[in-house]
Amino acid sequence: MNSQGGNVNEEDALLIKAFDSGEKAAFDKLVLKYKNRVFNICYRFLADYEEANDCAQETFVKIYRSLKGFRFESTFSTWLYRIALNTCKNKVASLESRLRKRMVRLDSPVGDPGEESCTLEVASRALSPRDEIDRKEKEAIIERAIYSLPQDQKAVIILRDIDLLSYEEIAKVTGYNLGTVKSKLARARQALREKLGGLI
Amino acid sequence: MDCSRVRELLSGYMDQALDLETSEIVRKHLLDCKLCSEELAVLKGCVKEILSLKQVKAPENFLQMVHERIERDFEFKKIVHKFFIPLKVKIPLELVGVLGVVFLVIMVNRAHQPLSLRQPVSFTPEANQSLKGLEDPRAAILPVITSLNALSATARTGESFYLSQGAFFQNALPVYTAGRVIEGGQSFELSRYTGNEYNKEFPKIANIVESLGGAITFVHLDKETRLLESLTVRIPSNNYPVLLDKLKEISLVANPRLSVIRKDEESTELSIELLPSR
Repeated sequence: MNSQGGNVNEEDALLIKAFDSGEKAAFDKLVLKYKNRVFNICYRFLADYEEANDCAQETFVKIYRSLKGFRFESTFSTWLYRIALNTCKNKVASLESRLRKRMVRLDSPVGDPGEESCTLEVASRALSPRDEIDRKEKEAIIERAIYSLPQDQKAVIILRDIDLLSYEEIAKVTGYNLGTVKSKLARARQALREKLGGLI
Repeated sequence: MDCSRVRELLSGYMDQALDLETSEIVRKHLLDCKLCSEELAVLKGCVKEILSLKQVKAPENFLQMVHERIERDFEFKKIVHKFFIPLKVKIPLELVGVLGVVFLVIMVNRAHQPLSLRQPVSFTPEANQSLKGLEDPRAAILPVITSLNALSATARTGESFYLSQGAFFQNALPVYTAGRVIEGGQSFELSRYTGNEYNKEFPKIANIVESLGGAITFVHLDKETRLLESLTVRIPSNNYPVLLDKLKEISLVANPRLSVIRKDEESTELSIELLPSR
């Protein structure tokens, strides 16, 4: 979305128009083109592969249903990401109690003893002594740290630091103004810095 | 600008998202403030760690799964459309259908209720004896009681009745019942016969016995199948030949298996076997 700019948008627009005129395969091309990015966003938002799979599928089903009504008021990818994030948020809302049960709360698992106490929520299976933390476990800790952020901050940090969208693009996807994007991103990074400080 | 304000701006600073003037102020502060510089490095480290997360890819068959989901969605909509559109027509029709089904279920359920709770039934000692051996003697008569309810309104003491109940089946065989009103419709002496063609003739036999001033004193049911096997009848001895003649008029009992149990001048007690010999 951010890297190839106009060409990408133009290509998407052509596919949408083709779909609109009855070419079903155009939708498949859009799915194949965006499936990994959407999936990754969903996964980073939900920290669960199956739930992410469900959400990513649901996102494309929603797209399929409403693609004919797409008015090109934003780019396709902006619209797609917006739907993906909203689908994730709805999913979190419906699974919140269930997911909460799977969490345990740990105090300062990786931080230096002298540092300000930080709290990190990790999946119980991700527990490991500090010395045994390998790359995979480190990733799991980062995942859980992202997952533990408030939804608005999580959305912004995923779009910025994982999907590398510009501030303007994030504003379009989330509907926040630029200032809000900046402040939410700053708060999200600060929260992660507190949670992950010991890892750096 | 103090450190806390600078730290708020570090995120925008590292993304070059601050205006030039603010960015310059932050830059100068960082040159002089070791703690804030370290903070910026940690923040950058955090972002680097997040960036280093591997992209999680969708499953290979993702597109196929999306198609299946769309198909399911489409099928569901089709079903909804089929059953509910147009609402004004289909909802009332479905409502009528549902009410009809509910009515049927209630009626069937009522017919099979344990009616012993509704209708007191007493047995003569002989009848009790004949029902002995069944796990639950009441179970043998339960289906009958429904009809007795209707009967009790008009029954008179001593009146005999015969019920042919096509509605109740056990072991896929028709059920027949005969009985006698004992206490003005409050209790009944009754027998229930589930079984073959021979059982169909029971009401006729009972009628003949009654008309000749006799009575059915014992019914013998097969313990396993609960089918009627034989009847014990007491009849005035002078009517015994008439009984034999009358029984012959009944087609299926043309050659009744009879055995006289006791005979004296006044009465004769005999057994009538109704089932074909096994």
